[in-house]
Amino acid sequence: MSAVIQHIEYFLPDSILTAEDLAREFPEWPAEKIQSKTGISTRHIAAPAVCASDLATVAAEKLFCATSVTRGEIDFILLCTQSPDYVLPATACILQDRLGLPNHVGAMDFNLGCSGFIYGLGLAAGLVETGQANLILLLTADTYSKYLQTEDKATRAIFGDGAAAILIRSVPSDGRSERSIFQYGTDGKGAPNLMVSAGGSRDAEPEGLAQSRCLMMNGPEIFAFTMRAVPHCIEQVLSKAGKVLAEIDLFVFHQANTFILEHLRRKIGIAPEKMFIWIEHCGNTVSSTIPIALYEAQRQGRLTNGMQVMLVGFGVGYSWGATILRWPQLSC
Amino acid sequence: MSQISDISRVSTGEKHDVFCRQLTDILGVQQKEMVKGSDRLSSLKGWDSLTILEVMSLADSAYRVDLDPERIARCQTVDDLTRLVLSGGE
Repeated sequence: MSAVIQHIEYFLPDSILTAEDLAREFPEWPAEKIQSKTGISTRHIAAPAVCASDLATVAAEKLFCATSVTRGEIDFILLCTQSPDYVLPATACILQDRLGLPNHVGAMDFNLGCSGFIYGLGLAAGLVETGQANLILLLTADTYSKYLQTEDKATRAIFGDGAAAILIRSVPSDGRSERSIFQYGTDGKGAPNLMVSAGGSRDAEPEGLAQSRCLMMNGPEIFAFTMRAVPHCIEQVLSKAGKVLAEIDLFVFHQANTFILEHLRRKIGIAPEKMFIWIEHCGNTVSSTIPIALYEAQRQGRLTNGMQVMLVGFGVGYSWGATILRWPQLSC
Repeated sequence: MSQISDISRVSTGEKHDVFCRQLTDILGVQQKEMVKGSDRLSSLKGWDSLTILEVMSLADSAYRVDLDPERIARCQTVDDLTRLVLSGGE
């Protein structure tokens, strides 16, 4: 069996934070500068009582409304989040109940950020290709806004809240390709450069607790890591697939910010029309950026069946990953 | 931004001025005058984490230099930063 992406939906909370809002708080950062440098005009912010699971629930319900899939057909839930409801149990278990899914489903969280969608696809492909599951609900959801310090303009200008729901179905292999192609990478030395240090067992001292509950981002180090890791990862996944860059019809990278994406595009040598960017109205929604971009690329007609698509995620960990699809199949 | 199609064809003496113009462009409208070598980076209007990313991007694309953020952080003046870029990041 092989796996296909059957459908994608996403959800963003109603409340928005505009570049103008930020410019009022940080007069040294004019709205035009924020927008031109990040490519982001608005970010959606979840209300204080709204958790990532609430956003994921809405995205999943939209998916059930938009397809003929019944809840009883789902046999696995994968939830990628770094803002779970609780330390335990897994939020995916809570979502099984909230979504009215049958008790025979498997459910698990995995804690990854901007690379998370690639890993989710890889896990889903593995479950399908080994016959462990037939219809997987992959959810990506985060409310990073709850981790951001009010005075940290750099992170507040970039991150937005959101969730995506992706349906991955097993189909008989068509004989052209049997399995998916993934390339993963990890460098834990970069962990301190994007971190929320409180909340786990290795908590900070109580006097530093408030600050350690917030996201600490070293932007220049993240940029340097991205420029090292992503081009090499792309070479590796192309080599695994036996393809060259020119054979890829569309590139959808993690939507970190426009500046990083444009620099990567030029560095790797990707034509502008082959790079899909969708960040202006939602910001960096962490593991949801790629599925949101895929949804929008499809809606705009930029992504059509049979296209060779490269997806690349990179960020917190450091963690990165890439895959090449023959849309909507998870194989190329 | 000042466009230099091939920085290798610019003389060493001119490279300093070219980089100062490029840095001024990156800083944008908030920087009214062209930066000087003796200017302290921390005193430049608009010198922030986004600007550092742009300097790293410029160094990579125009000078083929991968700048180490820790080395940038040790730079105190525009001259220090210019030397770092023009020496290949060492």
